[in-house]
Amino acid sequence: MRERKEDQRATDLRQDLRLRSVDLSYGELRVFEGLDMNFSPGSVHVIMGPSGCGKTSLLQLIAGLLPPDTGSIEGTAGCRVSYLFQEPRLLPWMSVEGNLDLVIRKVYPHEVRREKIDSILELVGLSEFRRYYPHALSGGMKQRVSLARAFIYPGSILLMDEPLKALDLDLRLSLVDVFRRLWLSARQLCVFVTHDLQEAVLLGDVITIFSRAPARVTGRLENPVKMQERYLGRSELLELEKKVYEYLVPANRPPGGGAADNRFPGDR
Amino acid sequence: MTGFTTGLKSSLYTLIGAAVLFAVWKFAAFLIGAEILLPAPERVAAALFDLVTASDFRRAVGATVIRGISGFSLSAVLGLFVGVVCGLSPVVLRIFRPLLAVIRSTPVMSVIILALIWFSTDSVPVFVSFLTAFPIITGNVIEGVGRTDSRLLEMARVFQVSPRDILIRIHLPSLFPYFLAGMRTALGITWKVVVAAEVLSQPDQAVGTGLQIARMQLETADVFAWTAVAVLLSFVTEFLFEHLTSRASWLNPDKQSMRQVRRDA
Repeated sequence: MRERKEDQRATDLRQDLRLRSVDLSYGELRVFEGLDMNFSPGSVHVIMGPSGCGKTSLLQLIAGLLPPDTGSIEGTAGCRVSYLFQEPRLLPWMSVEGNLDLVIRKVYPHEVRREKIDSILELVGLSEFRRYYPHALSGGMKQRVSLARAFIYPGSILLMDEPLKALDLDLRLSLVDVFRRLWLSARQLCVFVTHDLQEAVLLGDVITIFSRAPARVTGRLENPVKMQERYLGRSELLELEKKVYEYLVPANRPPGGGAADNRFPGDR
Repeated sequence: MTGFTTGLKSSLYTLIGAAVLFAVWKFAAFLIGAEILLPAPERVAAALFDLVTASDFRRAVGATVIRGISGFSLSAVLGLFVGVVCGLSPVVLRIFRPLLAVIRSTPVMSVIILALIWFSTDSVPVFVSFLTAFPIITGNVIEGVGRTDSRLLEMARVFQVSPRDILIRIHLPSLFPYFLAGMRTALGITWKVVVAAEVLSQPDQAVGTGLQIARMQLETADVFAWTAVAVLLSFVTEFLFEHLTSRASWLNPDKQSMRQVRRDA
């Protein structure tokens, strides 16, 4: 059963996901001007960059929630897309299992759904909470349910928009581990937006850095360590973290944090 | 302060309020000294007792209750349906908006008079209560559909949840508090318009008919007694409604938003 499912995902997405000269603007604000990007299947692509540079817009374009002004997104036709939002977005009137069931009702027959819910809840450590409603769960538990929802849905593309942003360090690192376990069993193409350097080097196979809007790709770094072998403090990862940092915070910034032109990083 | 003493204190104040009301009434009746204008409370109480013990009282109240409940239920069901369709489709909303606006602003008396021309005496109150409750419930449901969390809808879109599941599992639960608030408001005026319609249409068995007969016979104490019956009817149904709907609160664990809705309505 499991093998067949993975085959299905693989056939869903054999070629790259490509953005071809994509333009996007919100009124006056030009978010993307002729953006070209390639995402290879089977890896986690981390996107970093200043606030407001269009990272969420990129995910919305890939998910088909937002059409580009011009240009095209190729390789997503017929694909199922999983999305992990910044906030959990659970239905407050449905229990944990009800929320998981919602997204796979159309996909699997009843008995299969039960099994899948059982095993995913086991993996995220929420088996005893299956009948709880979201308001009775902590923020970290809600985001775990949301993580379970993103993985129980057989999406061949997985989009993550700073899903761990609101959580404390300890919780964040344990969820990084949960993510890693879940992802290794499915290996979907994943686009992961984050501001957190540790998340980036622990999870990213490829780390892409955006400039301010209109966003250009200013850096692209490959992770030399395999997903299974990454841990915080490993020298290659510290090295990588430093490189990413240098891309994100340019060294030639004037003293006073760039206030000379009265613009803060992230201002539009 | 414990909940018990707080409750005791607030019901004490309610008792004081009621006592003042009766005292003023009694004093006014004494001053006026004409029972045909303002009968004393004990005269009304006696009239009420006679009324309640009379053989056809139960049938009259029963018939009025059935009329009110039919009109109200009809508008709840249709209001939910039309409200959902209008809420989901801007085109249908534009089509229905003038109709709803006209119904909402039509004087109750015009509706009653037209109903008298069009329908049999028994169904006039049903029609009138339906027509007054319908736009209120529909309006609330439309509002509820509009207030559905767009982030949940976006989530459902990404995960390709079927339109049927989006309706049943996202729209309906989130508009439910608005639907309840609409029904609560509508229930408050249902008995008023039902009795008004009965006064004019004069069905055989009706609270409104009793009221009208009492007026024609210049039995002011009876007018007061029938009025008391209508007031009690309203109290009882509102109490039952609160009781029944508080059990449905599992549909919306967020009670805070429910209170908010009630205040808005």
